[in-house]
Parts: sequence; C-alpha cells; structure tokens
Amino acid sequence: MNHETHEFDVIVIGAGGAGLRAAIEASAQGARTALICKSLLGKAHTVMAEGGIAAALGNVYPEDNWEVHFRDTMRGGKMLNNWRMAQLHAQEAPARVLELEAWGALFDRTKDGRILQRDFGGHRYARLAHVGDRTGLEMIRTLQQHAVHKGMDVFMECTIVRLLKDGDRIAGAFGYWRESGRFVVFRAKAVVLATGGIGKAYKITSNSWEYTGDGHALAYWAGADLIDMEFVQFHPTGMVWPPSVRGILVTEGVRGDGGVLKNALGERLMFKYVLEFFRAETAETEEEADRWYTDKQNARRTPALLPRDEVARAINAEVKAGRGSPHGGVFLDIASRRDAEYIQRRLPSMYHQFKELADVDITKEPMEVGPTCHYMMGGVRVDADSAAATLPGLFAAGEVAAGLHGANRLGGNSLSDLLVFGCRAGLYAAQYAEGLAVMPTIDAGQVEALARECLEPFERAGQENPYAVHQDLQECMQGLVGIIRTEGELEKALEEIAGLGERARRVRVEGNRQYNPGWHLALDLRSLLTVSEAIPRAALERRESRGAQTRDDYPKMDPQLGKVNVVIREARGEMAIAREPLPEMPRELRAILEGDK
Amino acid sequence: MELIFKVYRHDPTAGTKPALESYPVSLPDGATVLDGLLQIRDRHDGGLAFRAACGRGFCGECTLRINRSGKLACITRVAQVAKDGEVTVEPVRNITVLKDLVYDVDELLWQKIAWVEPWLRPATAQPDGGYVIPDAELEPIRKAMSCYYCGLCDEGCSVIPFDRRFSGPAALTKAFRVVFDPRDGAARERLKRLGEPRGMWDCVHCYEANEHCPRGIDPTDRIFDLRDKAVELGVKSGTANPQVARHYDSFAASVRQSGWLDEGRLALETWGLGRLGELLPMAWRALRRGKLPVPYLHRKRPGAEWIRRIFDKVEKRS
Ligand code: SF4
Repeated sequence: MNHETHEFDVIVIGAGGAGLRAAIEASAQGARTALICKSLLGKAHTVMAEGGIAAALGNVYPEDNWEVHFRDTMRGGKMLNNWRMAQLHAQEAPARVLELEAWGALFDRTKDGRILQRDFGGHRYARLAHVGDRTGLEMIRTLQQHAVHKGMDVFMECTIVRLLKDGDRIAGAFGYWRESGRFVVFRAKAVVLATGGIGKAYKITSNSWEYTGDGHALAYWAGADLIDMEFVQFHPTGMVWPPSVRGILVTEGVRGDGGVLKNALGERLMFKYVLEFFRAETAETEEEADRWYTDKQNARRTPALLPRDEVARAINAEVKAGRGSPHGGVFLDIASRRDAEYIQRRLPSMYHQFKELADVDITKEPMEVGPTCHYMMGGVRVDADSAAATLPGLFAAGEVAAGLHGANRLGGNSLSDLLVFGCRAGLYAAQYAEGLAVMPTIDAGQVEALARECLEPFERAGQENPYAVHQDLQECMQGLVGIIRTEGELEKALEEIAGLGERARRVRVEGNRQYNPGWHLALDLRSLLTVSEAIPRAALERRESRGAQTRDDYPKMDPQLGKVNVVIREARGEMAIAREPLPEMPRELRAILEGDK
Repeated sequence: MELIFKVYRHDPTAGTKPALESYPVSLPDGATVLDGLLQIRDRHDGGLAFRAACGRGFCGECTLRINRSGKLACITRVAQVAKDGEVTVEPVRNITVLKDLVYDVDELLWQKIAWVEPWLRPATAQPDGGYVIPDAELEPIRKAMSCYYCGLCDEGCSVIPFDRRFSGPAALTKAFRVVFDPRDGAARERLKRLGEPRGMWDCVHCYEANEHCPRGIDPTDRIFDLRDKAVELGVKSGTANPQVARHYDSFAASVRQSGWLDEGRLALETWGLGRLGELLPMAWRALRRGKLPVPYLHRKRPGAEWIRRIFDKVEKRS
C-alpha cells in the first residue's frame, strides 16, 4: 500500500503545551524534530486552560517557595505522587514561567508590575500566574509562535495509530492524514508522547474532542507500563444547564477570586465536608474564610478551595441528599460577593460563556454547577528526571504521563507540569537520539498490516455505527466508573466494555478516506476502549478510597495501599495488573512534609 | 425545536459538484449550530466533515458561514439565527474547500500570520526575576491578546475577496500585538514590512472586521493604530503599493473637486483602465442590488465650494 515516509531524530506526538515545549527543547538541542498533531496547531486542549500556571515565584507572598509548593502538591495527591517529580516540578516551574514571558507571553501584573498570582484550590499561597481566565490561550500562542519562529516541521491534522518498534526499542510511528486519509510513516529514534487525556470516554466531560486516550493506548500497545489509571479527576464545577453544554468547565478561579458554593437552602456547603486530613489548615467559620482572601497570616483558607476531589464529592453528596439546584447541581455564587467590574475583568471567559450559552449573567445571578470529568492522573510510567517510559526511546510528558499528581491533581499544576516535563522530555529524547548511532529499522510487513487493519471499517459487512458505540461507551463509563465506585459496578463495566469491543470490531463506515470523521472515530474507538478497560481494572485493584478514587465499599484510606502504584501492562495479549512500591522518599523531603503538619 | 439544516456538501476528490443538502434536525432549546451539525453526523451522515475542537468558544476553530454571515458554530445558538425554521451552514468564502465544511486554514490565515512575524523581539534581555511592566502599559494590547485565530475578521473582510493575498485583519491584529508590546524593540522594521503591498495600507476601512470579531478586538481600529504608529515614527509606507497611493490621491481629488466621492473615477484611477475589468463582478453585484445608478453620472454637490476651501486651508497649513 502507498504511504509517505519521513525521517527524524525525535518526533513529538501532540501539540498542546507539553508537546510544543518538548519539540522546542529537542530542536534547540539540535535534534531533527517533528511535531505531529491531530488538530490544527493552537487548538489543542491546552487552549481551554483557564485559571493559571502554578509556580512559587513568591511575587504576591514572598514566603512562598518550592518547598511549600512541593508540600501542597504531595498533600493534594494524597501522598501517592512520585516525590522526585513533585520536587522537580516545584523547583523548575518558576523558571519555565519566566521563560514564557521571555518568548512573548504577558501575564496579569501586580501593582508593582511583576507577574500577578491568584489563589487556587489546595495551594497555600496565591501562586497561579495567569491572564484573566484565558491562561491556556496565552501559553499555547506563545509556544506555538516560538516553535514556528524556530522553524519546526509541523504535521497538522495527522493522527498516529501505532508506535513502531525495532526489537525492543522505538523505531517510529504509523499514522494517517485526516484530510486525505493517506498513510504516513515516521522513522524516528525517539518518540515523545504528549497526547493529553481520556475525557472523551465519559459522557459529561470538560475535555475537547481530541481526548480519546491515544497516547495511553499507544504506549500500552507498544509494551510500556501505565500506572495510576484508577485516578480520574472529576472537576467539581462544570456547567449543568442547558443540556447541550453539560460538562463545560467553570474555572476554579471563580472560587479563587471569592465565589462560594451554596446548596438549595442557601447554605455555604463546604464547611460540612472538611476531612480530618485538612482540618487544621481550613477555616471554620464564614467570617474566617472570607478574611483569608486578604489576610493569609491570621486566617485559614476557605473550604471552598479544598482540593478538587473533596469538593466534587461534597457536591455529589449534597445533590444526593436532595439539596441540589433545579438542574441537579449546586449554586456557585460570585455575584453577591464581588462587584460586576471585578468579575468581568478577572473572569471574562466565564462571563461570556454563561451569557452566550446559558442566558445567565454571572455578575447578577449564581451559576449552577456540578462535577465533570476533567483530568487523568494516570498514564505512562516515566522516569522522574528524564520523562523516559519503560520502553527505550519512548518518552512522555503532560497529562499522558503519570506520577506527578498522585491520586489527585491540584488546579494550576497541570500547566506547570506541561512546561517542566515537556522541556525535560524534549531534552532527554534529543540526548537519547544523539546517543543512538543508527536509525532503527522499520518492519515493512508490519506497516502493510497496519494499513490494511485501518481500512477494515470500509470493507466490513457489519452494520455498527461508530457514533453509537462511542455514546454507549460514554454512558457506561459515566454510570459505572464515575466519582463513586463499587466492586459490582466496576465488574459490570468490564463486561460491558468487552461487549462494546466486540461491537467496535463490527463498525462499518461509509464514504471514502477524504476527511471522513466517521472513519476517524472508528479508529479512535480502539484507544478509547483500551483506556476504558484500564480504568475499572485499576479501580478494582485499589480497594480503598484515596484522592479521586472513592470506593463506596472501601470508604477509608488503606495505609498499605498508600505505598504502591497499580501498574498495568500487556502480557500475552491480556491486561495484566500488578502492585509495585512507590519510590522511597529521601529524609530531607519527608521532613518538609512532616515539619508543619 | 424542529428545523431544517441546509449544509454545504462537497468532496472535491469525488468529482461531484458542491450542493446544499437539507437535513431535518430536532434540538433542545438553547442548542447551538454545532449541536445541529453533530446530530446530522450521528443520525444522517457519519461522513459530514467539519472542524470543532473545544465546543465552547475557547479555541476559535469552528469558523463557518451561518445564514450567510461568519460565525463560530459552537457559540451561535440556533434560535437566534434560524430564519423560517432554516439554518444554512457553509464554509467561509474565498478559500479552498477540502471537504464539506473543512477548508484550508493555512492559506486563509497562517501563512499571513507567519508573514507578520508575531514573535517578540525584545529591546532588552529579560532581567533576573522577570520583566517589570506597569499594568497601564499592558492595557492597550490586553484585548488583542485574547485573539484565538478564528479568522472571522478575515471572513468578513472586504478586500480579501478581491485580493486573496491581502494580509488581512487577523494577521495585522497579531502585528499590532507585538508592535505595541512594551518590551518589543523592532517596531520600525515591523512597520516597514507592514507597509509593503498587501500590508496595512491595503485595508479599506469598511469596519467589517470590527463587526465580525467575537472577542471585541476591533481589528479595523488596530490597523489604524499601526498606521498611526508608522506615521508617528516616520516610517515611510504606502509608496510600495502604487494602487493604494493612487486610491488615496483619487479619493482626495474627487472630494476636492465635486464635494463628494466619485466612485467611478475612484475605480478608474485606482485600478487603471487595464485592470478595470477585474471590478466587473463587483459592479454587477452592485447593479443588482440597486447600488449602481444607471446611467452613471457624477454631479457636483451643493456646497462643494466650501469643501474646496477646507482643502485649500488644510493644504496650505501643511
Ligand atoms: S481578531 Fe477577532 S475575528 Fe480576527 S482572528 Fe482574532 S479573534 Fe478572530
């Protein structure tokens, strides 16, 4: 079958924040680098990031530093984080933020003209560098223009469907052009995965169409380890009304800038849901919580800004108890707490989003919000320093990689993750490529077989519609593998996913290969099904509640399980599960965590 | 809501002609045009090609013509645009269609954006601890920073239909963003380039870009800001494009002579007899809409004398 072939030292799959940063770094190291993305450049999910980039610059609170950021991240992740990643992340984030400004970004300013930082859930100090509530746009625009400026090879609207190997190491990737449907082979010494998350496996999600778990599945199929796949973050505040916008994100910045959550009785509900783990550092009265916004020395933080897993569970419980809003969420109120001018300046996108999509003026009325599938903590197991996966030549950064966030990610730690580990992945991928004397070879027979496999949906006798299979998968994941989980439901989900896998093998698409979205989805279904199977499998293995995983049948944290990652890898065509110990934390870091309990 | 969506369908590789196909759609209140397109894909034709990434007005990818006007499908509510229960959805104009509603963005936008070199060229290196910039200095570019490359301003542009190579308001807004960045040190070079043919002087100030921009950036005004800056810095512009220069001269001469604009003369003097033919399609459209009086006669306006005196006065002063 006809296909074009390109050769590079490093290929980066995905052009969100992590992919762009990795490509910039690899290319700066002198590696011949290609950037491959499923969307148009600049439209990746990063563009939707709102609140900001967490970095202990100390511009607003000089007492902030990397150690406090490290501690917040570990506590937010319920100590399941890879300590070394959390350390590097906290130490390097400020430099990565400043570098963005050197490349053209401009963040909002403090009174004395430095980068302003905003409050966010789980961060002790105001820490997020931001541009109103459009931080992702400024970040992706800057990185993209920098990449274009430096003259990178960009392959847009090109989907990778399989990684290629030469023996036990990476040899490249196989994919197709969305426009023409023609196949393309990339020969490469190193591959950086930066494909983002898995949100499109769920029905109610804040994620963009690209989030079909491609990178997770590519790594798994190639034989790399995945960890922490049970931890799917449900963001507490997504829109709930009207139905067509259900799941769209409402930034945590609303609460960072003073908004509070209220139930149908008008009570500020979060005070009832403060776990022992957070009690010492959380305000007990409304008065103290309100004072905290301006006086961090003498007041403790508002419970409205507890980590996301806590807030999502609280909202879920209020709705279940019959104290929800008319459309099955709770109220998020900033209108009664801040003036209209302030709200419009700090939250312009939220203002327009509610106005345009829901006829709600957020400067006058409360919003209705509820949990929405937002972020995947789990993913490719990587070496903390080099972002290398367990397969030689494969690297991963950003949401597709796992470890930094442990059982739950703090808001703002995602954009900084993309920059810190995107940079590292690019650097080490380039070094790896340079150390490899010869270009690995590609198996022509395998390429041939892959091409035939991709074209099967056109030739099948089956009558399954790819859109229907996708919708049924989303219903299944939403209903059975959501915020609150039980063994019975997880088992049932696995059965259903197996059935959906059967149906996916009978999917038939009409038309030709020219920009055919039905065919694109038919191919995406394979990665969606793979990650959808991994989540309940890992969730079953973790018989405890921790961070984003809440097991109704095991409501407590289990200290033994707090010492292990659940690892998923392919073994003889099956998804094998193992528990493996977390890396041991050095004493001086443990002291940071214990020092101010 | 029960509606009919008329959707532009065309697969250039299949050798068929473009056509508007009708599809019945049934949508809840508050639904967007994107919801309608997704439903068509689900229920009628899984092969319907369109682009949409974020679905909530954050990325600017689903730029289309909806009932003959440029819009983002994901934030355009069906109830607000439907006419007699119908919604027409087409790709933007003056562009190569790849399939159905998917078109060549590279040609529309990105080559042009790259041409204005929208990356920072700092006057001084970043100091340790980062740039210190008073908020007030950021104010003028804050709006322009929110541009998400949707291309709606280019879609509405009056020049691009005549000259696809005009850099267009989207790219010029990017140029504005860097020229007015308080850290940038390359304004002169940038403005020199922007003064080349197809740059900022080719804008005819029709204000369509302002009408179309969903982010309220007012691209037409940003183009004026660039021109003002060029004049302020004394960067010689416009001469590189004789047409524009002729356009300005003819415009002024006509008003000076008769008190108002003689559009026939403007066209003739701007384009010259040789290229006048290129304007025929526009003249034909103007004629059909009753905007071109026949026979074409240009008369002096009452009070033309006063206008001439204003000219004399101003010209004497400068
Ligand atoms: S200036 Fe406005 S209309 Fe033009 S591309 Fe940017 S956001 Fe879109």
